[in-house]
Amino acid sequence: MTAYRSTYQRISRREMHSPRSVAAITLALMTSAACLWLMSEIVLHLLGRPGLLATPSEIAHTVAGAGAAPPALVGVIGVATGLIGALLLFLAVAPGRRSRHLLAIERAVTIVDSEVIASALARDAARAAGVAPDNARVTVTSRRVTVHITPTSGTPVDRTAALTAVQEHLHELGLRRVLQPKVTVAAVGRVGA
Amino acid sequence: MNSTNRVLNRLFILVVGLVVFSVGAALLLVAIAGPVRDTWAHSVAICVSGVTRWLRATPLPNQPMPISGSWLWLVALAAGGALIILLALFIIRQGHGHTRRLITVGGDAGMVLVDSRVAEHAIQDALSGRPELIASHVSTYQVKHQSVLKVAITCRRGISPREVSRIVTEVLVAFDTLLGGQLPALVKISAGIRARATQTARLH
Repeated sequence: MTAYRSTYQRISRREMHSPRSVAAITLALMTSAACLWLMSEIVLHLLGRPGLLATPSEIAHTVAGAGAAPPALVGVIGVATGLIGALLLFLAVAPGRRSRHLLAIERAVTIVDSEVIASALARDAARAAGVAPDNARVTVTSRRVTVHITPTSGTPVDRTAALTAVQEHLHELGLRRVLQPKVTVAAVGRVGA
Repeated sequence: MNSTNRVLNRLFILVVGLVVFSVGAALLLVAIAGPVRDTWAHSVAICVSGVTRWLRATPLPNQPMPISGSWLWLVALAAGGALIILLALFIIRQGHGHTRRLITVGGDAGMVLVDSRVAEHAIQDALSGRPELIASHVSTYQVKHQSVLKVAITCRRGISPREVSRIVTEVLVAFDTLLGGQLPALVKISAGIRARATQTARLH
């Protein structure tokens, strides 16, 4: 790791955050489409032909008429547009952390999807708690691990054993960001599980 | 890993977001505030009359083509075309960063070029025999003027990522020995769609 410290830092940073490519490409396509439409209207206007949707002067009059239009309609359009704008501003500024975790490995930057960690932990937790593998559900977020166990009706669940198993597994994994484990046992069991 | 310009992506989204948000806010103000409505009508009227005056003052010279109007429209068309070209370049620029050159060893006697496929095939072959992994894909990227190996792994449900990482590190170290040097590497472990359909592996 030491030899390529800055390269590895760059790779980890970029792999842990979204590039926002989908949003950027979608916006670029929509802007191009709007541009193409305005350009076709201009060409039709120059040729003296009727517009596709509206001629340039009709567009100008629609914009000017916003004050005279029913306020409710203008208000609703304004709120909808404002919300879309706010969403875009959020996308531009928010970190966009991906649901992944870094392993502390020297040789290579090792990135694991939270889903993979969750299924590995679920297996261990189910075995320690003494329930079927399908009855332990694990959610992994950026700081927390929550194990949801559905007990088999009539059989008590060893919650401490499940927590210890998850803690041990997490310790063994050696994630760069330490996760806080939590085990919850459902109040209602399931028959024949 | 790829060379997408993320700052540019976010800047573009920010600019479009600001424009869309301001339009929305302006429309809302027009709808709810009487004074704003008057100002809006007044300023739009001034703009429209100004633009109309410019368009009248700049007629196209007489020519055989059947077009009439102001040459400012042609300027607008050119600007629109330029914007579309810029946006197309922006879209095409996303992704990329692959390299086909793994390493170059140069000397007075000559140069040795090692193709990326040497690493890709060697590592992928070594990983394909492992039952714990469903699929693996190796590619080479250029990061900071340096070839970096990317090993993407799809593993079975329930397998410890530590175990997967140990297997891949073993293979990488073996390849280091083969190559006679160490290359930076990224290992990406994911579950993938196929993993969800595959039964839980029983390893004890």
